[in-house]
Amino acid sequence: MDSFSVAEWILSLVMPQERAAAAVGDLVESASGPVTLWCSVVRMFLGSLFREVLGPAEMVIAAKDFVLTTAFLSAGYTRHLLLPVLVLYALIRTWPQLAPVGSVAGFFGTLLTIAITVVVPWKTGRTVAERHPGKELPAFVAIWTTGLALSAILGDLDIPWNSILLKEPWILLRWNQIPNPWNPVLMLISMILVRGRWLRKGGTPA
Amino acid sequence: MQPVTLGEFEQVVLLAILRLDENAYGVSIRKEIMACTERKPSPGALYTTLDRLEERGLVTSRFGDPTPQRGGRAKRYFKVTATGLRAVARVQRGYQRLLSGVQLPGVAHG
Repeated sequence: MDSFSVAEWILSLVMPQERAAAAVGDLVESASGPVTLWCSVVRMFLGSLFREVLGPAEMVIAAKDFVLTTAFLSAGYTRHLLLPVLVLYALIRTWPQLAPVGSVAGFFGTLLTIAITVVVPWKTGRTVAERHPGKELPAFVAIWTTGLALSAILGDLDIPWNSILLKEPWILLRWNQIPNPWNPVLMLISMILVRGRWLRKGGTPA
Repeated sequence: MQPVTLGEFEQVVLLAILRLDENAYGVSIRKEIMACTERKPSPGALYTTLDRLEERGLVTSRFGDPTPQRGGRAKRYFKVTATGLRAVARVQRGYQRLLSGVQLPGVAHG
């Protein structure tokens, strides 16, 4: 892969592929040296990223899709995998002699954790990238920034949710033990792979 | 309605597109700006401005056919919209009013 193809791929993360290809085509035509090429790519990348993050409604829709997809996928997996845990929990409470069977609940619990912490972020990244080509990375940055800001504010306020929830007897309601579907690295990799697939096909994301 | 405001470089880009008419794409716009203003805008700055102008509805773009000398990549041709034309004309009229009666070396006044 030559540097122009790499540049095109990088730009296509924040803008439609046709537009990225045309910009790189101009750089090819004007025989830009490596310094000009990469300075231009960085500037276009940042310019497009910030414009998307700060503005248009499409990015907001993509950001909303990030949150909704994560929520729906998490809810779906929870519905399927939490049910056996709850049934086993109820059984053991009713018939304590069945306690050894309780280890099966742990198995489902582990599956649920894996689903939410690995599968959900992976599928979310892929889904949003397919639905909102060129908007997925700005949306991702917007959510990440919002998340960081919120956690900073909540940390500063020291809201005692943790301590309240920690006193609850039900382990699944303990705040710090609820699996977190927000895995930025996995989301990012899956988004980039989707974009790579389009580039290999040579088509413009619909 | 608020009049459309234009930055100095945005005006330069719009005027270059108008001069080039049907052949206004990244490389030719940059060359036109270099030839007319003796400044050398970086491609990054130019594309960022073009995208912003398009987002504001001051220019439109269309893609041409891919060409081998561009590594099989298409050209993106730009055209100034009616809104863009009105905006640049309004700003230029303002400049002309400011210039009238002022003698600048090497500048002819209409």
